[in-house]
Amino acid sequence: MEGFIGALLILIGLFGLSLLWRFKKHSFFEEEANRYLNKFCEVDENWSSRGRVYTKGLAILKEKGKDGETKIKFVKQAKLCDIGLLD
Amino acid sequence: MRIINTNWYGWIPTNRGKINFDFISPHSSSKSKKTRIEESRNKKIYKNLDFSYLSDNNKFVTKYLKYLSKKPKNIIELFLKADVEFELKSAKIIEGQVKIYFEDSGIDYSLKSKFFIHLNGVINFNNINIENIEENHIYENIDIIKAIFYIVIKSIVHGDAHHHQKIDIALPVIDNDFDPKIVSNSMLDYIKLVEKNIKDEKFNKCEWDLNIKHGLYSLKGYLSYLKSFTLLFDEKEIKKDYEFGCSVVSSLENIVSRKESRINYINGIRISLISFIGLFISLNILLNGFWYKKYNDIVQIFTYFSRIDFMWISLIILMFIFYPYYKCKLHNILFRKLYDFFEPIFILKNIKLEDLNFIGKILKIVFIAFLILMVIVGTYLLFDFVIF
Repeated sequence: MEGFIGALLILIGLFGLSLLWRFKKHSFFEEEANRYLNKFCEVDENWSSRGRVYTKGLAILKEKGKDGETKIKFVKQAKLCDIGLLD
Repeated sequence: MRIINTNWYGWIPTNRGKINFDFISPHSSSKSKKTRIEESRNKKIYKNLDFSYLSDNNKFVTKYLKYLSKKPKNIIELFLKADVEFELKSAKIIEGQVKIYFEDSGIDYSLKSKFFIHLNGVINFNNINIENIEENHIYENIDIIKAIFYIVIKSIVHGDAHHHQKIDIALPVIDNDFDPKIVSNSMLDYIKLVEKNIKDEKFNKCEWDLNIKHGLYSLKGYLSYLKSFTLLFDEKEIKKDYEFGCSVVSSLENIVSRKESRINYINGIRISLISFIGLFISLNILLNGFWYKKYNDIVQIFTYFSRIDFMWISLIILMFIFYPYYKCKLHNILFRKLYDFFEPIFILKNIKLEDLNFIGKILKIVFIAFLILMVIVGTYLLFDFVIF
């Protein structure tokens, strides 16, 4: 029984690691992940999808200044999707 | 209220070649508890439709992953909503108006436009009325704002075919005058883009099997709409685009079929080998007469306990043999059926530790350490079982 539990732990662990740990570095995906998480998927005119499928979007951001004043900012977005995420 | 004078066009896909007023209805993803719907024979009014998905920050990323990000805390995102009215004015024209807005503490920031839908799918928007928004924001993002107006109407009239569609890059918006060649060209570019993405991939990776097939089928769908478009706008250049599209899709189909036949061939060997071994063992046990204890080597040699142990060993061996197969299937299901979970996983997998905040760093390290620990403990238990 403990052998079966051991095998199960190994296989679940390996599957989890394959989902969460990149063994081979992918610098473009690293940049993209950072953009999605920290920069509201914002893109400038120079952004290139590097030939991958992507979608466009628009974010409306509300920024509260230190003086309590709020500003509205429009942000152009782009994000790899679907077939474009294949690696 | 200020008015920006502008005029733009798009095409709402229709494979029937004619928009049907009765089929106009918002997709379930746009409806919320606050949505109000009034529908009659010639008029349809939808209020409070939820178009938050037009932002590329999907809800999961915005809601939960924000705790792991380094985003400034004083910035929050406001999501889009829409009120839309459609009226069947004549046998050939549907008129309407659309208001897209984002609410913030009672202030209503809004953009309005009038539109006319011709029954062949051509949609024309006239002017943008803005309220509580500075004009420079509009001018700087005018292309994407026009695309948003178009996508809102397109998603209600045509429906969303894409499970995580934001602004579709296949169908363009065209300024000033409708030029069908721009639409067919853009659809052809998109078909080529998807084909290139699929061809670029390593075909021996089974994790993407379902996605590759899905990509091919979705291209066939695009092609059928391009065909309808060719029939609606009878021009030589558009027909050429359709023919090029057919050749791109058939080239892709060829590659996908080749991959599939290779996989089927390998799977055939695997299945026959497994069946052979399985039948060999079971037939041997059967022919040796396992029901007569005195004639049966297996029953005589092994004790009750060792037989249980060997049952576990065979189960473990089978688990390892079938692991790559089920891993691929699980990965495919996760991507296709649970895409909203796949995206955060994609981010967590690819993001560098220094791009996460303190909680994010700790969580990622803890997660990976936990998984490594699972593998180590599992290996220890397995060896302990096999050796002793």
